[in-house]
Amino acid sequence: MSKAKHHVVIPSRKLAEWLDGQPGTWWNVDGDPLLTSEVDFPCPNEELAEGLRKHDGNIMVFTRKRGRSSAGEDLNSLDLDDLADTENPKKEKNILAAWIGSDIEWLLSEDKDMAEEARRTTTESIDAKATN
Amino acid sequence: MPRPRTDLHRKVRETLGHTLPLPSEASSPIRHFDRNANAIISTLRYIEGHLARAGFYASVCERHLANLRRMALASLVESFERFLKELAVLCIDSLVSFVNDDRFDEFSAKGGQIAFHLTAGSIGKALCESDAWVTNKATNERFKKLLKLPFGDNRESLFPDENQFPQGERNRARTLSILWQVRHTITHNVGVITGSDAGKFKMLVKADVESSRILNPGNHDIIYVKRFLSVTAQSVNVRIGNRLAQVLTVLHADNPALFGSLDKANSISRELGFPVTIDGSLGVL
Repeated sequence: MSKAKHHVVIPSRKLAEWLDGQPGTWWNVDGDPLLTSEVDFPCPNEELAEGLRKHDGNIMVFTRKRGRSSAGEDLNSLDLDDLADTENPKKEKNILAAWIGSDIEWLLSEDKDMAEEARRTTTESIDAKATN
Repeated sequence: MPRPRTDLHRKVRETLGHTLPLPSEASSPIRHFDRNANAIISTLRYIEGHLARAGFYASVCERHLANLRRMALASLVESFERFLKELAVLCIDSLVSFVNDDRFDEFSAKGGQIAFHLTAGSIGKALCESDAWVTNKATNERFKKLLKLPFGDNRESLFPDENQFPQGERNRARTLSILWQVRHTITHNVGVITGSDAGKFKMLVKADVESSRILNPGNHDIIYVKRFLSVTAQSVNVRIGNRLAQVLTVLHADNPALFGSLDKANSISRELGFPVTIDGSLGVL
């Protein structure tokens, strides 16, 4: 993502909605003083979505692809899946972002390993209840 | 010509000049804790992610990562210790001008230490920062006395033992005791579980723990410890904050000239990160 040149601007609620649409996923945020002082990472998608909704701000999402929209423009057709970088061994989604008005770039990244661990633990817990 | 010797004495001293400013979140204990704890996880994840991409020898990599995870685990517990101290500083600085009793006698700071901190304008820092807060017992006794009602006792323990209250917090207290001991093992014995450590762990977990082995936490262990500490920090923040508001309410009700209840509620609410009410005045964030 260090070579990202283009960007789109989206409201934080748009990012929250994108996370809502991915139940069972877990996420990390690296570098954002705002979210990392309020949310316990890594966390399930709904916890991060809730954290994002507390802040009614706009977020700049950096991408290697050419930006197709700016704030308020063409947001309905914007697919954040297209903008996420998945070029890594586990094909985890990574998004480089910054709050508008801040020069701090931060990395939103999927944590497939923790999602799998959470699924396994939940199954164990259900099995234990069924046995008892 | 022989190579000139490096002045190691000077080099060690120079370390103290290599510092960073505190982040703005440091003004709020709970936000500061969350930020520190998240930074520890991010560091691990960043390094592991890049090592995995680089394709180094897995067994060599794993040895180094095991060291890093031990350090991360100790740092998480120490971040929680720092959180407790910052919360105590907030309590002391909020009360110090309005009480005249023995509530600060649990702290061991000497005159010299206090003098260092007077320039910073915080009696709380002077009293709290030099002490270790790494046992439930010490933490309980300090907060219990610090947050007693004027001329009254505080029967509630922050991290209650088996015979203490509130009963609903005992399980959390037991788990925290295990983590204090884990921190001790990593910090003082580089992760080696000594016979003494094993004996204490056995008592705490009520199961066999083998000695003469090295703690080797995995990623999930670290994340679960962090989530436990984060949930505990949130709970402690609310319990201490509400108790502090209760003590200030009693003081204000007795003598309204002591301080403005709304101003006090506002400033404390901002530091705690949630609104508290002092003598009927609701603080805003």
